[in-house]
Amino acid sequence: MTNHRLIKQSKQAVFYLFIVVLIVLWAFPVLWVIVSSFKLDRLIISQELVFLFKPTLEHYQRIFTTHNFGRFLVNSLIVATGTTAVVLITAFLASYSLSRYRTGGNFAIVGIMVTRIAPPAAVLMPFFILFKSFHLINTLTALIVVNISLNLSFGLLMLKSFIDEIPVSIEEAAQIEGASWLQTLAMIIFPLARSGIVTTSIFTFIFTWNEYLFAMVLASSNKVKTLPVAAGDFVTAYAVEWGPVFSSGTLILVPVLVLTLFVQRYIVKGLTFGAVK
Amino acid sequence: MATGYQTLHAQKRLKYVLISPAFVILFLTAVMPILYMLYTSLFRLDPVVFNKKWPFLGLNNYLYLITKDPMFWSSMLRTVEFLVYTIAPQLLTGLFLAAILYRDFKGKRLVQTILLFPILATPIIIAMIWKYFFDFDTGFLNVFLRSIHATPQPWLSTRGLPLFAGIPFLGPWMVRYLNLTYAFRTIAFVNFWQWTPFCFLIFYSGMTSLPVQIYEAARIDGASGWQIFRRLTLPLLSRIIWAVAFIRVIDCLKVYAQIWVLFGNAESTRVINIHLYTLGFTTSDYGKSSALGVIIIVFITVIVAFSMRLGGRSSD
Repeated sequence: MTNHRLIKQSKQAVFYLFIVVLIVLWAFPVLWVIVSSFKLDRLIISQELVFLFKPTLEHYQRIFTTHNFGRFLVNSLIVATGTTAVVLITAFLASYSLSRYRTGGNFAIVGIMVTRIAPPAAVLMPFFILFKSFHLINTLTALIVVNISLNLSFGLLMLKSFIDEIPVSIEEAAQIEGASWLQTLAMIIFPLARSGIVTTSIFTFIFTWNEYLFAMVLASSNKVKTLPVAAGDFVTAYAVEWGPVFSSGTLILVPVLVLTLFVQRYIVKGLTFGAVK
Repeated sequence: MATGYQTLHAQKRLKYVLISPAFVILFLTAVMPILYMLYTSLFRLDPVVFNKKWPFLGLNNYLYLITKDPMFWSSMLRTVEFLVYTIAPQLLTGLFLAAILYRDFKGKRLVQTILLFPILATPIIIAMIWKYFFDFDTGFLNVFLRSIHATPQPWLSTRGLPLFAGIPFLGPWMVRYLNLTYAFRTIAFVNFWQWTPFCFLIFYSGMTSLPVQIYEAARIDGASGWQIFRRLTLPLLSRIIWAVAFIRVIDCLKVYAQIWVLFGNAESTRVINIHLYTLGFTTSDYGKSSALGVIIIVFITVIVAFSMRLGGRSSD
């Protein structure tokens, strides 16, 4: 009998050890870097692991004073907000049409999915050549256009899946009462699709906020640089400035971590084209 | 009722009006660039001739890549290796985690929340975090190893992994052609770290939607945990497993920022996307880079068609 309990207890212990390993592997690296962003340079490159120290804002001051991160933060916000607004409005109208009238049938849906398959890098050149010809290199407009392209099909499929769940009978009732299509869309569908709209916005915002490749190629000047590109500048082939890497990394990562909590219920839906319910 | 129907009918044009802004944008920004790239891939196009008339080259850009550019074939190989080394471990670990974490335990919500964060985290910052952890001189791992008097590891070097390099005769060949190096293991690991939680999450949510009664019946019949997993969960999840594999293939073919931050365009980790960037912006040959873009699109189409057929057959 005691033997039995012993086996059970040791099984339990192994299980919890496993959980601890999981937590350490997935939470510790990010936490360590966020905490280290408040360390002095000499502690960051020290040959001892420093757990307790007097925090300093040195690396944050540095990126905001000598490196103009205020500007880059504003650029990132403009690009992400602009992209999100356009994606949301056009995707909302189109996904209503796709959901209610099945416009274009399966062909339209498959077509939308296909545009999400190609790697962004593959279409880097045409965007670059076109923007160069139109003198749009180093403008935020170019970045917004590209990010709309990268996210619109996602927005369409995501919002459609939410609108699909709203019963048609509610709209029919409104139309019998004499509501126009615009009223139906604005007063009935929009509020009912609220969680879909919020979710789609947050996803689009995060994807745009994270985008690096196009931002690096199309907007590398100091006036239009976004945060990921600016953070990437601290990593060169010759040396890495860990202090600014940590502080700018924290600045970029923390909003994403917070926003992730708001969409956690929808991550499965959002990242599988609705292939998995 | 009749009015409702009539209003809908009268608004038949409406559905096209509503859909057109999105479809016009999709056409202009997703379809047209590919067509335009087909066109630019036929010319000599670089900063020198950019504002002049572009010399027509026909298929010479493609011929150059296929016959004269050694990095083209090696980057294709690197891409396939990257797919093979990253996707299988992610899927298996994801399944394993889902099976282990399925039961109730204290702190379950905490673990799930922690596993949520990597999925949407900025890839380039994740790569920087690991670049620091793996740094030879001041990185966390080696500092830790030295503090316990263990040998620091050259995590970011392009040397062969001792485990494989030590194999007589075959070793050097394997390191060279299968790319079993520290550097390649590191990019596979960073990808693993960021995307295994995604696999876990999808599998887990798939498991929670499986019918409970079957499980109870199996348990009453005396099936062991492993038998239940092998005979019930796996077959029932097969559609989801294929869907996740498919999505991971597509996403791994998009990889760029992580490798770029860790190793730039070093040859041993230069996958096809990095090679395209190098051709376009280090050598400034927009024509050849366009041709490579077209090849990538074709390559992706083949891989996607292949995995769809494979998936379709296995889940029958």
